[in-house]
Amino acid sequence: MIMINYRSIFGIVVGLMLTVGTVSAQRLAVASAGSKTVTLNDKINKNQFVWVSDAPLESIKGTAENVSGSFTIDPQNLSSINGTIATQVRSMKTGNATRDNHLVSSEWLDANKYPAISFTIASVDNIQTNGNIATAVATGNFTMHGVTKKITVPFRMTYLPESDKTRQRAPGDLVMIAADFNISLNDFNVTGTGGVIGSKVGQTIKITAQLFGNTTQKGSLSER
Amino acid sequence: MTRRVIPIILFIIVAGLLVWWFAAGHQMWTTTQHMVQVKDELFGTMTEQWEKQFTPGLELIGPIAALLIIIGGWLLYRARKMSGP
Repeated sequence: MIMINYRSIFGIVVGLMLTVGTVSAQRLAVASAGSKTVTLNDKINKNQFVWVSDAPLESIKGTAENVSGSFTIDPQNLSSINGTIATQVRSMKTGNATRDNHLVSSEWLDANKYPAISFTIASVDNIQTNGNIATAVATGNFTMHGVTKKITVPFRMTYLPESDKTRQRAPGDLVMIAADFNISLNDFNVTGTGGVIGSKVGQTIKITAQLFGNTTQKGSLSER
Repeated sequence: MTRRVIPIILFIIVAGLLVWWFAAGHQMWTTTQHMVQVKDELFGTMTEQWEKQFTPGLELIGPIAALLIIIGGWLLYRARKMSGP
């Protein structure tokens, strides 16, 4: 006589559901599979970092352009994302030419000595997917003003498999990443001119990334 | 009469400049571009782009307003002195 242990069966079913749920949470509901290289491409839309400095005496909004870089992505395994994104300090704009010159001077970001700001993704966690959209948290090394610090960056990614519409911008699958994070100028030894940080320039800078790239490696089902 | 009208006009211009500066965002520095939000129809998201727009800052409006106040004050002082006993 076979004894059915309903408790064990229930445990196995729940375990399987949790496993499937964890795996599917790392997958995008798109027909693309396999690891691809996504290269940032301004033809899709402007790649830039928008930053805001809020201080009691002044609020400054600016951008960092000339963003370049690439990352690898497997739409069926988002935890494997890795790559490096960089922007040129000299591309920073605030809408005021004099202030832009101050920004890249040796008293601030010192573009001559430290021409680039970069972020290298080390790991991606807390992945949640909904169709072709994923939210996750990337942890990696942020380098600015010659200082490298580990930071976490929550981001939202939209993955568009290649279609007639996407081909109007660029070939391959298109990827958009929007990310919001903060950095402290203190952490990166950016001291500015005496007394300005905290009064006219915020100690914490809010950064929003707008990144657009296309897959430059064949492998998407839509390409086959 | 004219001696009093000119300072009043100068003070009205100063008031107008300060109202313009305040309405334009009361920034410390003059900017020639500002950011606008543009919808990316393909991704269905908003992105930000630069657009040309002159926005006066206090470093521009301040000295002009101060100069006009000094000129207006001086004209008013002269007008009162000349019309005095």
